[in-house]
Amino acid sequence: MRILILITSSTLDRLITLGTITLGAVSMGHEVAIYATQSASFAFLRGYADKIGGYNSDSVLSELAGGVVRGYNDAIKGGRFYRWYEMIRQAKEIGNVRVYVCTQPFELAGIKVGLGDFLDVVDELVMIGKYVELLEWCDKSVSL
Amino acid sequence: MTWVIAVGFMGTENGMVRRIGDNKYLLDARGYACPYPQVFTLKVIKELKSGSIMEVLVDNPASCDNVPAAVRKLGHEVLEVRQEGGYWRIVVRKR
Repeated sequence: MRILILITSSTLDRLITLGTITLGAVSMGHEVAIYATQSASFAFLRGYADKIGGYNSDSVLSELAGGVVRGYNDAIKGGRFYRWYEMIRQAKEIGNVRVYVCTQPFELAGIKVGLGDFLDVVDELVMIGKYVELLEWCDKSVSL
Repeated sequence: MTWVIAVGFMGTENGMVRRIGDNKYLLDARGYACPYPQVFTLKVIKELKSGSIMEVLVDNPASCDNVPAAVRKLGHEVLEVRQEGGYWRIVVRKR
């Protein structure tokens, strides 16, 4: 199966989900394409990915959400979990994964970027035409 | 990043996988959160010869359903799932 994942958020809850779905799907032999746009495009910038620690939840759940972030960081330190972009890198090692980053947010912000500004898991900098092409390519589409 | 299980795991005590008999292996995935029990299981089973047996240890209840389901989905056989104290042992045979 070919799976397209659209991600528009840069919070840790979405990014961990992105890594988990990607790695889980690839381990079962599926192909994955990731299309990042809006603040998710920024999450893939070198120098920022490691610093992302915000976990989006309702305020009543903030203590539980804080526990997830602490557990995530502790498990990474202990070698028993991996950062969200490492999960994507692992998925690329065992299967077919392509990562596309939409440049629209950078254009709106007046920021010039090239592929070298991004984590090495990123394959191409693209615009909306690529997303439509990927919609035609995929069997299932997921939005995060 | 280097896979914990990728380096010389066959017949060694390296990492999380060790040989426990002829064509029989043990994968200890205890302490790992989703999706790693599934990912490790499917990655290791890919490396084994057809008919090999692999025992997988997991310590979260969801993996008891998730790992066998993923193994079956890829056409392998789940021989046994049993609880042993605070963890579970999932026994699979590669197709």
